[in-house]
Amino acid sequence: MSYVSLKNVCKRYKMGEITITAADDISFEIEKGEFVAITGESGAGKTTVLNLLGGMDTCDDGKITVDGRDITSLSRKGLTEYRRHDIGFVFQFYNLVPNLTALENVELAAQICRDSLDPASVLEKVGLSHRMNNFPAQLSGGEQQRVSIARAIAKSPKLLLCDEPTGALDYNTGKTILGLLQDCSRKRGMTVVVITHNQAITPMADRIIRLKNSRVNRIALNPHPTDVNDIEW
Amino acid sequence: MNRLTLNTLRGLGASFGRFAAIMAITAISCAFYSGVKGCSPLLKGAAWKYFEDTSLADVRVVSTLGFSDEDAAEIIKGEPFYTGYGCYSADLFTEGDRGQVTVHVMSYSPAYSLNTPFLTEGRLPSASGELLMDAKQSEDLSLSVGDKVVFTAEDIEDKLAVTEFTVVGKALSPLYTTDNRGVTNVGNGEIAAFAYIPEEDFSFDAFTEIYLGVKGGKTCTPFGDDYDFISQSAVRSIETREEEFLESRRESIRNEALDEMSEEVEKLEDAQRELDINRHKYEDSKEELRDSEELLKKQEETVSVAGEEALKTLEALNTSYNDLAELASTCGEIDAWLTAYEGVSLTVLPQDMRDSFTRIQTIYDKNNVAANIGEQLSFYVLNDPVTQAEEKAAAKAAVSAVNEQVRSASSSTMAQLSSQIDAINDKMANPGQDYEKLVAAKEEIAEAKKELKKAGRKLKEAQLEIDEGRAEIDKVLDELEEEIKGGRLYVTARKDFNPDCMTYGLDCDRVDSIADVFPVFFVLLSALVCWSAMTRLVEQKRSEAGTLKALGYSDASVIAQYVLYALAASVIGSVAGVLAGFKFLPRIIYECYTTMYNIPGFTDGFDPKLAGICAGCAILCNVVSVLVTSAGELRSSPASLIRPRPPRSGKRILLERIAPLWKRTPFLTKVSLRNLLRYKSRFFVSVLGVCGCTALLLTAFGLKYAISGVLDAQFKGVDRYSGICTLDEEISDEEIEKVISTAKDIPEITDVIPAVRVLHGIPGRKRTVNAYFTAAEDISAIVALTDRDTGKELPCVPPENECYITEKLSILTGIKKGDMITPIEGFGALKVAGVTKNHIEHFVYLSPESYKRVFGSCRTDTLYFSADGLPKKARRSEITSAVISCEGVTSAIFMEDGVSNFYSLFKSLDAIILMIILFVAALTLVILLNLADINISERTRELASIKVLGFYDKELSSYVFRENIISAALGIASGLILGIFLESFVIVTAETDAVMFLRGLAPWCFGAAAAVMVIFVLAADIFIKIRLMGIDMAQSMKAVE
Ligand SMILES: Nc1ncnc2c1ncn2[C@@H]1O[C@H](COP(=O)(O)OP(=O)(O)O)[C@@H](O)[C@H]1O
Ligand SMILES: [Mg+2]
Repeated sequence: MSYVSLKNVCKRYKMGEITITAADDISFEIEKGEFVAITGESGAGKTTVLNLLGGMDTCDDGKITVDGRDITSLSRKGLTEYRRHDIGFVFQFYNLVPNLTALENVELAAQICRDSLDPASVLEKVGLSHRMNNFPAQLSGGEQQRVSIARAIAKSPKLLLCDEPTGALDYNTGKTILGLLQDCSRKRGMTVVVITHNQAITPMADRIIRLKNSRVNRIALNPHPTDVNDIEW
Repeated sequence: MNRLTLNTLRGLGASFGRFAAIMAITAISCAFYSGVKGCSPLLKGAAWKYFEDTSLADVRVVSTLGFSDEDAAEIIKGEPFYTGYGCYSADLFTEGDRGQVTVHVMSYSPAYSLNTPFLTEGRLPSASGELLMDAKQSEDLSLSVGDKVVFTAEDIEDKLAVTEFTVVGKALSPLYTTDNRGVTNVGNGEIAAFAYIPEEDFSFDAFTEIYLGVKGGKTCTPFGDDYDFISQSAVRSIETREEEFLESRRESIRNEALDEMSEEVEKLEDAQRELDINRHKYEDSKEELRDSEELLKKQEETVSVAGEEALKTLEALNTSYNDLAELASTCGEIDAWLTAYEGVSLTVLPQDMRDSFTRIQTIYDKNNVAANIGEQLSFYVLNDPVTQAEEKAAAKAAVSAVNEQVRSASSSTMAQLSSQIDAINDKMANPGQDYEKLVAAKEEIAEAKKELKKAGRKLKEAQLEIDEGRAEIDKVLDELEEEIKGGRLYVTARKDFNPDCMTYGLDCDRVDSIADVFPVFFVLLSALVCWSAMTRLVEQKRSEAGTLKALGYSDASVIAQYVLYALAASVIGSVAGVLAGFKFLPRIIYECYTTMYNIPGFTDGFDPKLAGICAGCAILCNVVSVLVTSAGELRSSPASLIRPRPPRSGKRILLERIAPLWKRTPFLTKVSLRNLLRYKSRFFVSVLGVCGCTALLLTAFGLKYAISGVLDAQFKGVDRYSGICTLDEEISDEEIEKVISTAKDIPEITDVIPAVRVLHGIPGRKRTVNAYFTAAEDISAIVALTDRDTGKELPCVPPENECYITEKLSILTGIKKGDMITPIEGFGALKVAGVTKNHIEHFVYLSPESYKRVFGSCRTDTLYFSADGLPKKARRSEITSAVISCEGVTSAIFMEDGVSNFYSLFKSLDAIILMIILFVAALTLVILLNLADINISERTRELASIKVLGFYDKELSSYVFRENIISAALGIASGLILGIFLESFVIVTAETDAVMFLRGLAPWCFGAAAAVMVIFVLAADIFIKIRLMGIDMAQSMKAVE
């Protein structure tokens, strides 16, 4: 059995009379340590799937298992625990706590999980040792995203989920961020799932899942992923 | 529909929580302000209407002499009265559930133009023997319609013509504003209820009181100064004519008495007249009798003169006769000697013979018998018969011749004499006709005399009787004069004969003064909350505003959106609040009041002006805050508005600079601390809101403590006596002694302290205040003399010429320890030796000597008694009855019974305070919830991301809650401090002159205020938790809001 598997997952939003199906019978699998890219047009259901995978939302149908654990059957508290110990999240808009310094933002995550990494060294690894004591407002977008990644990594999660991490960043900064994420997978053996609507990035992924109209359109395996530095877009 | 308006309306739905919060806060503060502020006029209005409907009298006149119909008419027609009536009343006994109770029975007639009873059940009495009962009779009585009542009293027949009555209805009387039915000097001193009976069932011969209506009395509120002035001048108008009324009354009493006695007087006079005639007759007959007596005497005299003469003659005759008889008897003697000495010869004449011869010779000499008979005889005896026979014979012959001569002479004279004597004797033995007449007349006169004497005695008796009758009449008149000489008129205005009516006004004022302070605070708080809510709204709508501006909408139309929002919330809220406030609050307060006030007929009222001001303020406050915040925000360019606002940067706070402390602070606490300072304005609003609410709560609890604690503080902490007994002005020292010993004989009574307790005015620095001057040998036996400043007990009686004054008196007059006071009616000054704690009324304590020096005299008029524990109600009533029954006692009452009214009064205030507490609580809750709501909505993204990080619900809520706790703690702490000041301000405003509420706050007040706040903060926490659970992570991550 795969490390992560989604089977016939459905998510519907009821908005009065109409029902929007954001995820329609989605099934795919991810192996441990893979770097996965989820692509698709805007509104294809990418975020929905990632939220379901990250335990931020519950699915209406189907089954999701992560590391052999069925997360669709988890309670509210179980889901929180799942997020706490198994998931690292990186958002498009960083979502750092504005009132905490870079280090403190990482500590915020680190202090609540079991086998957390040392926040300072994680920050050092993302290249922010010199900005550790700065507040988010004092950091650039890329730096903030790096803090965000550090915050996710520090928890040493089973799954690192990133929702368009480069969406709000310029080209070069975006590249650095992707590089960081690739390193997580390559060097730490972390399973990383990155949402991107940028097709150019897909070559660097081990597995590419393409969504269209809330359905899985295509799943492609890339036996030889390219290094991020070799990719241009 | 305008798309912009549509947007606003949709916005209402979207942020309904905030909309509701603004609405609720506006409503609560409007309801509170309009309700409490509108209450006093409504309450007073209800009383005014009731007084008007029942035509409550303005002035009452009671006379110790009573009033005749003419007297009453004379008073009623005087200025400035427009109507009035005379009536009867008496305090009578009846059998209650637990023994005898006293009922104040008044006369009723449909003709009475004032004081109409307010019927609550049944009907008014119309026929003799019907009775209208007090609707709020004491718990000892339970008379219902249809029940029979029998009244008893001393000399009941003088008071009532009928004593058995049937209850035909129940009513309230406008003469009683509260359940307090007053005191009396009969029975146990307490009046359990009033009752009305038909006028004709009274048997008094004069009205006991007159009630009067003053012109203009109905046109002004009965609680204002105008009314006071009108009624007081009416009182004076009678008082100035007091002597005139009294004199005319005296005159009519006198005439009446004379009228009543006229028959008797007539009879006496008749009797006197008859007596006088008889006496004349008696005198006449006496005169006549005297005349006849005199005549008789004269006749008697003549008769006796004649008799005497005859007697004298008789005597003379008798003497002559006796002489002759003696002479004659000598003849025999001589004959005997002649015979004896015929043959005898003697030489010597024996002595006895010689004596006889001498005696005979004397008799012969006396009777002119010319014979020397002795010589002849001695010659005859001595001569020897033989030898001298011849001579002897010659002698014998001579003697015999003489003898013969004497014998014949005397016998003829004797015979003559004897016949003469016999004639006189005969005459004397037969006095004849005249004499008999005389005797008869004498007898007659004696008889007449006897009869006359009897008549005289009878006359005397009759006179005595008449005199007695006269004296009796005089005595009655004198007594009457004595009685009416001291007559007095007691003229009282409504505030004196119905003092509770004034208390009602004062209570209303108290509600009003509380209303002045509380709602202002209320409005400030809600303004604060509205401000913060509206600021938040504008901030949230920032990008939308930018977009609209970018689309080409004007600033004004964008601002209009917000204004519309604020208007909708505040108009709905204030209108609902004002309506609810006017509808419910005055009624609730009224309901609290009716438990002790007998004022029926409260009607809801609405004061458009007050409502307008109230709603206007609330609306203005909201709109202005929207205008100010949105105007500031919209000054920026549309572009910068559209761009998400850069998240506010975190900042290092001061505490971080203290490294050792900061390092030890738990991580999340650090975050909270920073957050607090990051959202400074929200933090400020939270602290201020909690602070204000805490202060209000503390004030409310403080008021409760200060007001409800007063009675205990006074009756347990200050007063050491259990009851008070007032004495009549004319009581004698012996009577006082008797009262004291009677009281002391009651086993429960441990001590009786005679004292003087008189009200005098004291001119102070600020104003003149009336205080009870209390003088006793040991004042500490009456009250605890606790020094206000030191808290120590003062000496049990102040030194000569010094006094203690009570605390509130000192505050009101500005007189301090060491100052001199000069009572208005006194003749000297007293030095204030100390200020003592006291809560109800004002007192000046001094020694009887000082009192005497200042006021000239010192008459014991009050007895304070202390009892061992508090006897049961029934026993108390027995004790007071025993004391009242003593001569010269006007009243006796246990404080426990006297203050029960006070208790209910304070209870009603309690209810109002409870209402305040509830309102403050509601306000607090809304404020806290609103702040929590703002807190969360402002940081949804942050909270969502923390949620994504895997924080448990508890951790997440404590993340937010920690901040709340800090701001709440600060708010509560500062609120408790602010509350101390607010409370001390409100207490002084709410206080009346005669009462001094407790100053300061009890620890429980702080505890209670803090506890309530903590509960609310916790309630807000639950709300926050629910809100946090509801945060949709997936949604919030999506974009920058
Ligand atoms: N909370 C929601 N309520 C209603 N519809 C939603 C919600 N979230 C997503 N959707 C709908 O589900 C579909 C997929 O959305 P999403 O997963 O965010 O797309 P993507 O991330 O691929 O752009 C969209 O059509 C969107 O309208
Ligand atoms: Mg998306």
